[in-house]
Amino acid sequence: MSRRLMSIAAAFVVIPSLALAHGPTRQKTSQSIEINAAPDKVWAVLGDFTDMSWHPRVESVEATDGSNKGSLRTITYTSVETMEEELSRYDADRMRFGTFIGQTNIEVIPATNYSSNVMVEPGASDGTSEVTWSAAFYRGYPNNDPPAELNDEAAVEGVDAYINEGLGGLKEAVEAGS
Amino acid sequence: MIGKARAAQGLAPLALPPLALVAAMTMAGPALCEERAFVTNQDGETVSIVDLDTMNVTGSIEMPGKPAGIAVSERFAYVSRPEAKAIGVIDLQTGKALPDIDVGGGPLGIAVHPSGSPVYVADWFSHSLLVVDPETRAVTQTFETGESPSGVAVSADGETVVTADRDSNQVSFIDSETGEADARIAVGERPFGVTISPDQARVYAVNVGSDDVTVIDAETHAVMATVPVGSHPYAAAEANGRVFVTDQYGGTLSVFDAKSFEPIDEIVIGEYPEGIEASADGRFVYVANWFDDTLAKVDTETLEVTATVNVGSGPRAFGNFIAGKASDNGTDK
Repeated sequence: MSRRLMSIAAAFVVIPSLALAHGPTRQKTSQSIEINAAPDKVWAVLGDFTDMSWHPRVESVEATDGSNKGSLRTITYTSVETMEEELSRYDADRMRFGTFIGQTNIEVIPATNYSSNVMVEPGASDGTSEVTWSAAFYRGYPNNDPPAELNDEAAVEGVDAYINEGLGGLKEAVEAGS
Repeated sequence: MIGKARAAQGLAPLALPPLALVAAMTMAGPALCEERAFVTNQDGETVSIVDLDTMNVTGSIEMPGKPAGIAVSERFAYVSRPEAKAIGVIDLQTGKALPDIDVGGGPLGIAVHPSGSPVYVADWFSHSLLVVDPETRAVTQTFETGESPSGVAVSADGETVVTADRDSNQVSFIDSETGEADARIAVGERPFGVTISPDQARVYAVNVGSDDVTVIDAETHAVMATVPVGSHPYAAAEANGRVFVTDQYGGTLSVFDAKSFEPIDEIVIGEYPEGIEASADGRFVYVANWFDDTLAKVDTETLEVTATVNVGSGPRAFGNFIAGKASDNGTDK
């Protein structure tokens, strides 16, 4: 971790409200993937808030309250970084849930005030699913004139990479096994 | 540049509808006063014009500078554009943009006096409310608010301006004549939207940080209730005796009773609902869904989403965005 990034990360801890300031505008992105498995099979993996082993970057997950709304999971990444993600919505019937990360780790995603929604829907043909993962967030640097690695584009790019790797890993995990 | 702009503004009154048309509108009542939404699309940097009767997009106006807030008078729409540090002006009759008004700072929340002037602009960076004369296109006064003022509302009599001072966790009641604060009232965490009830009796401060709405007596400034709503609420509108609150992260509209403050319903509305406003007759509320790029129409009686229309990218519609409510002097019924 570079010294500069570290000091910026520290700044968020001290003055979190700055991260929400309306200098920067909120960004959004949405990615989908087709999986060769029925929706309930996909949901059985994705809908378990206590397990993210399908994400290539994730080492382990510990959740405070299972897959119940309000549960807080601490994600440890293979890079040894960690991040805490809260389950803010959970709807098993509609196979979707929403999360919120108030204190992001910009070594993992160069964004702040991150919230996400994931959902499983029937795919184009029988026995397939479409998984959509969308996220809304602000860039990593809360004030004007952000450094290139923490500007709006970098935030979208970084979150896109995190989501794409996750969706790819999910597809692999579901199609490979169980 | 300034002279040209003035000329454009100076000419504007000549474009008033002829008396015959005014008379016709008065006689025919609301039928001729069609309501249209002017939706600020922050990512797309446009304003979508939506016919609220048919729920069709009838036009789009270029609006650079990440437009967010909007305030509609009888004749103009004023749009805050934080990245342009300016206010965009739209002629409601022609649907065309007029020259901008430079205000500097970080303009966000915006409201217009019931008489059509001045325009009040919350400046995120200077922690004050800018008073803008749209004729001279100048900031004429600066009223002190708390930190990071967000939502702005003006009472129907024009005497009081209310601001949600987000980072001070308070609402300021400011005398529009003197610019002095009559009261600064502590509310929940990080109030963003602020709305005055149609009967002018209550002020609703929507607290993003504490997931609730603080209801304040508009006259005594006493806090009447703190009503829990969904996740990260943004703004509120009262219609049909009910208060509707957009829950950004919940993807819902929380509905509670405007008298008892008891919860009534939670309507699935769309992803990241933000700006909300009621029709003049209170039959419908309209909601901008920021993530979905849609404007949704909700029946305030059945509590069902009756129509949804695609608008530009990243609609916020923060403020009063419905034109054509003027038949009742700009106040909700």
